[in-house]
Amino acid sequence: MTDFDVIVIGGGLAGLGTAYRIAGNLDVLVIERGKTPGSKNVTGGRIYLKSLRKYAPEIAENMPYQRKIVKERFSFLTENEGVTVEYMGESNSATVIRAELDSWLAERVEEKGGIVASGVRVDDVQVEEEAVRIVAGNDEITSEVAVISDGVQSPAGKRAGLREDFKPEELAVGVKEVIRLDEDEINTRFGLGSGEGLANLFAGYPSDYLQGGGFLYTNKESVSIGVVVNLKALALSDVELEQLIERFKNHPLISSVIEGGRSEEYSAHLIPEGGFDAIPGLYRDRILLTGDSAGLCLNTGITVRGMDFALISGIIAGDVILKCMERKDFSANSLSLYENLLSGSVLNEMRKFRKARYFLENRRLYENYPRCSTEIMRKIFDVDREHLITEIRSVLGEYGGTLSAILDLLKGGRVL
Amino acid sequence: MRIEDKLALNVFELDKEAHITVDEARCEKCRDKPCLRCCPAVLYRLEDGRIFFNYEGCLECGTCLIICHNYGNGGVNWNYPRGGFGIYYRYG
Repeated sequence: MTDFDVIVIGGGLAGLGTAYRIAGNLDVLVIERGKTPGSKNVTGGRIYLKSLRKYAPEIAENMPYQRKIVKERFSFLTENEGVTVEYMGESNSATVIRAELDSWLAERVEEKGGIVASGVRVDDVQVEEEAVRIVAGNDEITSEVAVISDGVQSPAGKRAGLREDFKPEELAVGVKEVIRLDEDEINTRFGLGSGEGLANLFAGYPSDYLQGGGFLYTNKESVSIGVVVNLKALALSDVELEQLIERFKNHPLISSVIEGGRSEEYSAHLIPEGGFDAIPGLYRDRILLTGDSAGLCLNTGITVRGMDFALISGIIAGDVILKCMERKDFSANSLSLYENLLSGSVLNEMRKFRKARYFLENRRLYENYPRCSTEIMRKIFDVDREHLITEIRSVLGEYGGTLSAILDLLKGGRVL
Repeated sequence: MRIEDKLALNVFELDKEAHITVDEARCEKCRDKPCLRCCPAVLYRLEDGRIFFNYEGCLECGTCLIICHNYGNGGVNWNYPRGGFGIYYRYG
């Protein structure tokens, strides 16, 4: 006899997703190292709702979110200029605060009869013939099957032999500040109605023209501002990471909208951005890997998804465990159903954008295009200029030529 | 805003022992010391040629582990803090 049917390592969205799916049917224990669920977790901001509505309609419907995104902006920035494109209309994402969202989901799990043990760090995972043994300090507990959802670094995934550290080029580091502003002030500054939100992604200056970019999301009574940089690009540069967000906050486009705001929190987190090609083994006998620990995150340059994938992979892992419990078979062969089911959803989407990661390594995207688009726009709005085509040609010529720009556009169009 | 002031915004549950330590012998031989630039909390400092790590403001991102083991000399011994300790994100 094992202590539990299922032990979930890590009470983030993936782990709580699994527990939510199976609590009430099976004995499930979630082990979370933070003092409360969500207290170790960081997001940029926003969760995409479309596929969540399909796989977890109750969660998508009821979860606590900050604002529904109705304005999407993309900006190219140089030191003191900016070019912005804005879309206003249909909303398919919402901003969230992880401390709030994860605690809420943990409460739902407990309502259904699951146990969430917070403030406990898992030190080892041992797969035995008849059980999985989880070691936490001097304690040992066993289960029929364990779901590893302990995040991007996944010490438990490494212990279980399913993965190694991600490579620097497969990771990005994000730093973020939450800046408090009155709700009305946010509505006025960004032209938003009650409950409406804005997302703004930035390329160029925020990451010091390295692979990565900046972001701004509006919460109910705060804005989240941050910078993301690929780890390989960061390591090979001479950039001081902590300086980037300070400089970004001082950019005229940003300083004007956060003026008078009070910084409340400074956070940092790694993001698995290796895409489909970096996904490790997802299962072995008695073990499933979900969420960030399985590298289930997708950056297409324009949209970055991780939280919806985490929840969906967690829920699918729950489905698989329920099936495997019926036949009392937790062998790798039996658990391979997880990868099959995931292939129809998260993995399918990641496979579709498999090449995005390699396209996004192109330095021109972060250096040339922000500089050249601001230069072209500056000239267009200047009275003292030549014909448009002459100006555009001369600017493109300065930044590597028209042909390479057209090729990047075509290549990007095919993979993003 | 100085990094010290920024870290002071955060809530930490301080443990008595460090969850990350550095191997001085390895760090001494490390040419580039990328940890100095890449830690978002600037917790790695160079004093008299020696690397010091102050675990108290750690944001637990793991950047130093990846950077050190790929571009440094592998001197970072990395772990999360014990359960319940370390950074306590109120927003995240």
